[in-house]
Amino acid sequence: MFDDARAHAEIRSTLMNAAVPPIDLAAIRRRMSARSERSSGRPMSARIAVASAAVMIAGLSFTPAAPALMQSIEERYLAALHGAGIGPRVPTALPQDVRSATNPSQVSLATAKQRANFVLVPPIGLPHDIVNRRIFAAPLAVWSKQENAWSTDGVQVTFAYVRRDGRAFDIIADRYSAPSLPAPRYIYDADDAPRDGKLDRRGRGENFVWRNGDQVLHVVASTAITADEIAQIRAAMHGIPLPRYEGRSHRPVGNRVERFTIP
Amino acid sequence: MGFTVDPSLIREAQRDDAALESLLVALWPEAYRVALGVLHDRGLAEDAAQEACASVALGLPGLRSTEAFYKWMYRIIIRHAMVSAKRIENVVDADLPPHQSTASSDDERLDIFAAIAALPKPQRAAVVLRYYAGFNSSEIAAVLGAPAPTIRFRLMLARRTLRRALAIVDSSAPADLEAVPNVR
Repeated sequence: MFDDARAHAEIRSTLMNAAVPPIDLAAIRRRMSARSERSSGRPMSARIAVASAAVMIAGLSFTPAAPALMQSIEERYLAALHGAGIGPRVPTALPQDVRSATNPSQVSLATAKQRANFVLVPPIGLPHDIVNRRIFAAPLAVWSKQENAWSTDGVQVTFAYVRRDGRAFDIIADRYSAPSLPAPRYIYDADDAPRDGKLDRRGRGENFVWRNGDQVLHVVASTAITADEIAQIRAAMHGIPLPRYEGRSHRPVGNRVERFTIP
Repeated sequence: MGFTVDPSLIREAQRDDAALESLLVALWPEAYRVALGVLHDRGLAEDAAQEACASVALGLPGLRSTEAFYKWMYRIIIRHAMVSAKRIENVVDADLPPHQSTASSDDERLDIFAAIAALPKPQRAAVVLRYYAGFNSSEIAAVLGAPAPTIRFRLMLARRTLRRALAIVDSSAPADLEAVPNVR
């Protein structure tokens, strides 16, 4: 029988018994600093914009067709934003200096850990036929709606794996940013390959996103790595799955942070 | 109200960094639990609690009265939890882990927690403040910025929904809480 006394006793008891994670004072300090920078109007390297697009761009940048594809996606992404008139201010084209600064460089795991602005946890529970692993670090290009300018902020780390049969896949690590959630459920991998001037949207890979501490990992299922294998990696890392949305575009709530996906 | 801190710590924290850290350490479990009650997700609750702690730390120097601290603090926590909840409200596949209560031996306790998770957000916030934080409807109204009659109405709707949900479970019918109509 439900009554006020039972509700009070059980709700209070349940929440009081819930395991509370240890306080992360450093993370709270970071959030305070970020907000102070925003409110003081100083040039801030706000992490904006393009969580998913950046992931796609960074991910694709390690494929053999990287430069052309990357530019193609970037241009169409920007063109789509301009065309759609999304938001009060539409990003301008990526300046050359920012473009250069975001070029990925191959690094060791130790260097990647040093450069990352989050606690980098390398993937474990990988398929057993991995024969090669390379690590790339690349600063993220972010668009500040307040400054109306591009800048770089943070570092995205990509673990590029090659399997014995030559199949290759990437796992991308980024700093957790609540405003950039939810992530798209599917990445349309054929978006970058226009056919006769039109986008072929038949191919898509399921996008798996999970969190370990302040790190977020992104992996897209493909012929190189299956959803089951990704699930094993996530389970081995004890990752917390993050929300995903259906569809091809999503505009989260918020007035400072804007995130775009390639239409 | 269950959560209290020494008023002198609040005053000290307004000007001293070490005291501020002590206050945040004291506040953290309460912030996390309230956020968890609203969000029903550990990762999101941790995120909302961190945001709330950052807001408290930044706003504390401007707080004039230590007596106002609690309502102000709960308002901040609820606001951040609601923002997080709103952010994911349109998510089709939330892919969230199931809630793992440490009170798993008590099925009823799990039932009521699951039933709360099925409530609309404003009702959930009111329920958490009423039954966890121990506020009355006037105090909840002050925290949520809504008229007290509205709060009483939300609590009435929430109680009715919870009663129906738990009646389904208690009668050994399939505990399909999704089937319980959300009375808004």
